[in-house]
Amino acid sequence: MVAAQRESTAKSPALGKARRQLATMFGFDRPSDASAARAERIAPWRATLFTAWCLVVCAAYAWSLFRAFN
Amino acid sequence: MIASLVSLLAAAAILLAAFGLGRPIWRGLRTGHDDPLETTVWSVGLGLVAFGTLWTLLGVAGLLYRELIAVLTVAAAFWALGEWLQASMQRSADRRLARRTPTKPEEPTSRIAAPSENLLKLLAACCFVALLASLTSALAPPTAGDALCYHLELPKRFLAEHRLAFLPDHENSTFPLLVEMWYLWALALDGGVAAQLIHWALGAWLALSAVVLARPIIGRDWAWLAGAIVLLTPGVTNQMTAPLNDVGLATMTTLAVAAWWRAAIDDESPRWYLIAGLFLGAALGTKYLALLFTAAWFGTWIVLAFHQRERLTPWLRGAATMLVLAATLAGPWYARAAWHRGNPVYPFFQSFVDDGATATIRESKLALGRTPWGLAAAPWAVTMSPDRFGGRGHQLGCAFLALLPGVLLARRLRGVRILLGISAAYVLGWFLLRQNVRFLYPLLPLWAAPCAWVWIESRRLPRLHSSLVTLSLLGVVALGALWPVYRARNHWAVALGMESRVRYLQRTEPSYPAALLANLLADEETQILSQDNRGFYFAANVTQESLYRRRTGYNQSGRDLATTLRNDGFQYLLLAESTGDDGIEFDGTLSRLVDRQLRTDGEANFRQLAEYNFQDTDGAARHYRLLRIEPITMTATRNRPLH
Repeated sequence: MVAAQRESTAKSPALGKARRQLATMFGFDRPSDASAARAERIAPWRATLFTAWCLVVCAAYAWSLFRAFN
Repeated sequence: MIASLVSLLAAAAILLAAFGLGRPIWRGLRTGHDDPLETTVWSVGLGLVAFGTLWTLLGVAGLLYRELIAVLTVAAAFWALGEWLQASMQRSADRRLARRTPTKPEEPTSRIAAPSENLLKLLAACCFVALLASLTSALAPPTAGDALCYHLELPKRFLAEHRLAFLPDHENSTFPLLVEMWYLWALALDGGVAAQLIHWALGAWLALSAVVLARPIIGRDWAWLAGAIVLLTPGVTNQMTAPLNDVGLATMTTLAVAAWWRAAIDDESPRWYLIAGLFLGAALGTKYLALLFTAAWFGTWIVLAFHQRERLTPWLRGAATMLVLAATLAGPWYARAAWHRGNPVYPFFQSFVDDGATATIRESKLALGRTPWGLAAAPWAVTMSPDRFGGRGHQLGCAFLALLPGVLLARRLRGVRILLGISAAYVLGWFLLRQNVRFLYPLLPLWAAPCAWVWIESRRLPRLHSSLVTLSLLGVVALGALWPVYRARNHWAVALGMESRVRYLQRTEPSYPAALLANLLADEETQILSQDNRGFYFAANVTQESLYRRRTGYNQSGRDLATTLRNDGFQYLLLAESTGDDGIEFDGTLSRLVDRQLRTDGEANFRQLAEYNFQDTDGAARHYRLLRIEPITMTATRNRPLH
């Protein structure tokens, strides 16, 4: 998986750099967190479900604001 | 600009005085929490409650004089300065001592890895922007309807009469009015803007209370995230710009729960129960809604007690302490309502004491009905369509809806289930009784700590998911900071003194032109009967026509209208009608009766002094008429035949 990530970063260096910067900026790449996180990653299907939920809520809220202002 | 500075100074004096009185109380309680944040939050909170209670007692005794209030404020503010000086000298002595003695490296306050500094900086910047922008709006003279009807109108009347007068034609005059006692304080020192600044400060205090509540649950560093989530809620920053009482209530309930947490859950000193009882009393003395919160809270506590029977005895002792203190502090408000109205929670549940009373829990206030699917849809509906639940201005934003379901995938954290248990019980009561979005504010700090925990746990998501979630949440946070900036667009000129307050009010407050004229003609003894309830800017006593009609049935008496009104002591009438499709609907009974009499008698009884149309900023159009009820002598002179 790590190799795949490296590969994808190599394919798109700008995206990889932006992702690393974001991770550094908000502290996701700290050694303590990283080791703990590796030990107990959330299952992919649950992670996807939660991420989708977050995005749907944010998008729906933005749409409700757009409708309210127009 | 000078006017804004004076208002800021008055509000600062109030907070300083609250600290001056609250600090010795806090020290006397010896809880063992002495860091600057806890000391400030609890001291100011305790001081506000103590001063509010003092003004209530002075009001009962008929001693509400501006001079007395000012002297007590100055004395307490100087005491606060002394306290602050003493504390800073103590701190510098401690620092000198610490330099001489080698210290062990500081232990982390939580097992959770600290948030990144950049995240904290970003949150701090967002909070700073939100605070500054809402402060700008709070510096504009108040124009919120409820504020002008009663949150400011009642303290103005009490101050004018030097006592907590009973006003039979003012439904809210027998409500619990602790927050209004703080507004009375501000009115005594300055005016409506200072009162508004007090509610702004209460908003900031709500965020700090959320930090204090979240500390034992998610740790000191992450607790700031909980505070930021609360502060950046659009409804909270909106309420900070108007002298209402929902944010004040939420601050009191949060401090009560935070104190209870330390005693009951963290097994710290039982003295925390005293503090919890005081703030519970303050919450119950602020709004009837605190009764629902208390029921939800104590109900959850009872369920907890079933699971932890070994703690039953100390918990029972603590609960009794809290309830006795709360009843002592809030009881007088409920006793006052029972004395004057025969119902301690008037006008709610009035149908239980009076068969002819109209129901106060109306279907129109239950946008989702009372069905199970309505309850299931409530979180989404409240977030996306807040206009159905009391207005978009009071909205919760989407952070809570986005984050809270995440507790299902987060690891279990001690305390989260208790907070969510209290919330669930409260939401059920809210759903069944009154579905207004601002009535959910007491839950915001209870939701903020679990939300912060989900944010922490989102670091366990795969990198791409985590980045998407973080980016969307940062967007929500930034939007929360931009809301108050958008709202302040109409206020910065008056806040900075580039537009006078009078000019601003003429432009934005519908009742103000009539108030200006009435204040030239009338004094504090004058009685005005008004179809518009916004009475704050009138020097005279404004009686709400709808309530006067309900009490006297004057429109059905069959007697001459002018004679009836004259006999009841009224000298002026303010007639208001909606002329557009949007906005408030006024009951037209009085307008119709007056027009009928004008057609038959001409201006013999009612003389029109002013007439104008007003368009609100939201587009609602109104038509106002100010009329004088001609004194009987003048009517007789006019009607005398000319020879």
